[in-house]
Amino acid sequence: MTDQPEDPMDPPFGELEADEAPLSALEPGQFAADTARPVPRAQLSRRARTGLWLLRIFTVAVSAMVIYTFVSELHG
Amino acid sequence: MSVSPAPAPPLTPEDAARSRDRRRVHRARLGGRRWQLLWLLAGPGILAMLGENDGPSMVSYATTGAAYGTGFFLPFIVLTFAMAVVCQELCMRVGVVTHRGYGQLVLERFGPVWGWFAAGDLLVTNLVTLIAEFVVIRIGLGYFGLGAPVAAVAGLGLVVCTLSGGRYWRWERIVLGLALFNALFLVAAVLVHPHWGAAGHALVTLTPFPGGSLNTLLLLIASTIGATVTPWMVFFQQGASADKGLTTADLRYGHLDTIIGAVLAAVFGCGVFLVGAALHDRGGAGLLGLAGAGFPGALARVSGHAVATVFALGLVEAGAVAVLTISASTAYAVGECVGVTHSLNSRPRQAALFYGTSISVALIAAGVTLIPGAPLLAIALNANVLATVLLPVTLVFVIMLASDRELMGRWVSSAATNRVAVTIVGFVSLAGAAYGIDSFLRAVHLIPGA
Repeated sequence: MTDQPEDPMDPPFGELEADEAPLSALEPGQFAADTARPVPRAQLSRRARTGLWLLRIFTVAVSAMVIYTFVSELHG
Repeated sequence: MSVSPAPAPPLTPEDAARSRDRRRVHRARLGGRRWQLLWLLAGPGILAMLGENDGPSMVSYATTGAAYGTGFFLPFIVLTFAMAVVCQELCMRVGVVTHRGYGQLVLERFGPVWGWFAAGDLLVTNLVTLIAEFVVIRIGLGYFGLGAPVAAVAGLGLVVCTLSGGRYWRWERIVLGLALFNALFLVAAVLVHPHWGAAGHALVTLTPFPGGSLNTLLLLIASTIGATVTPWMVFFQQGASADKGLTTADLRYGHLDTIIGAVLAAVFGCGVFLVGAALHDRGGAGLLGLAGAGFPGALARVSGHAVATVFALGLVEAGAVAVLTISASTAYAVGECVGVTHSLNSRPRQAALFYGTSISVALIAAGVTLIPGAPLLAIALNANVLATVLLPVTLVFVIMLASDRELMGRWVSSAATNRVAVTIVGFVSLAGAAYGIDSFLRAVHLIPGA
């Protein structure tokens, strides 16, 4: 990335007016420094945690079946 | 748009690049130029949808058409794209509101175990799918007498070339330009002179319903779902929407972008299905064993070299675009989960892991396709099924994030949307499980037919 704009209408950052500076073009929370800040951890209920683990076990089990079938067909 | 009263955070080249794109958006919005706004804001949705019209997907649609002819599967393809719109709209919304990617949010909001599970699922399905993409590029180029090394070098070269420049906007426009060549499949469909009346009848009545082997039917249902809604699309569209710098003011255009992408992808997907269906009455079922590798040659014999050439070029395009979008989604996932810079607006030296992942995963996939005797075609055909099986967990987290009021505020998804999304998760889980369990029981000879 260079500081030269791709759009001829865009001046280089060094020549931007105050209201055209990056601060004015990006929303609060949109800067790289802001998005690197972690969001707070969600408090999942016991029921939600159990549901997620059951779904995870289900997908792993079905994936194993699909992969087993795939490998056995290759050798068959 | 107001100036932030908060102290200015340190600006990065990523902020500067995104700011330039946003300034164009502000100008277009202030000037009331809606078409220019659409041009500036469209991209992630169209790329996710057309990216998923990838090599294995097109082979899957064509195979289904050749196996069953024009019937149930034609409207089923349209239905799966309607499902994709619901899922992709949710992840686009989360990316726009939070300015964060899917992997990062799952990891931070639900903990590292779930974050790394999500990234692990994605890495597995993306690697398998990327191998399939290189296989399909090879099949397409093979029609013109070019071999596997050419396919590997061309695909890798494309990834490196599009990543150079450190600008999301540049990358997106190049890939969008390439993705429009997905229309080649529609050209091929017109050239085979399909029975438009039968296509219209099938779209309205969902008939004739396919008969024959239950396992083949379940395979093609699971494969068609996996050809339309996949984990990488969620990672990609959410990450790209945040990387592009979309804000809540752009939600309507994000929605439009997703719908335009789905309509284009559905039309082109139906096109390739009709191309396959043209083979149905001329030994289509017998061509199943040649699926993918045999299609351009079979089309040349049945419909002429012009159709075969267009179809082969379409395969190259579908594979190439997917190599770019899927390698990018892998890079977003790894960057988000490791917690390092993950933006196409960043310079390669500042985001070495991000760019390195994108190139490395493509390099590994290309390398596998060069291994003599590797079961490449089988991998290509099973890539979509694996994506379908692993999809439910991804979708559940998307629904949880989109309906998280603490995270989304007033932009939280509606109860009606959540109900539709949960129904989709149930349907996808059922389709994946039905094929997985039926195939497994046949493979271990607990039911006849293996």
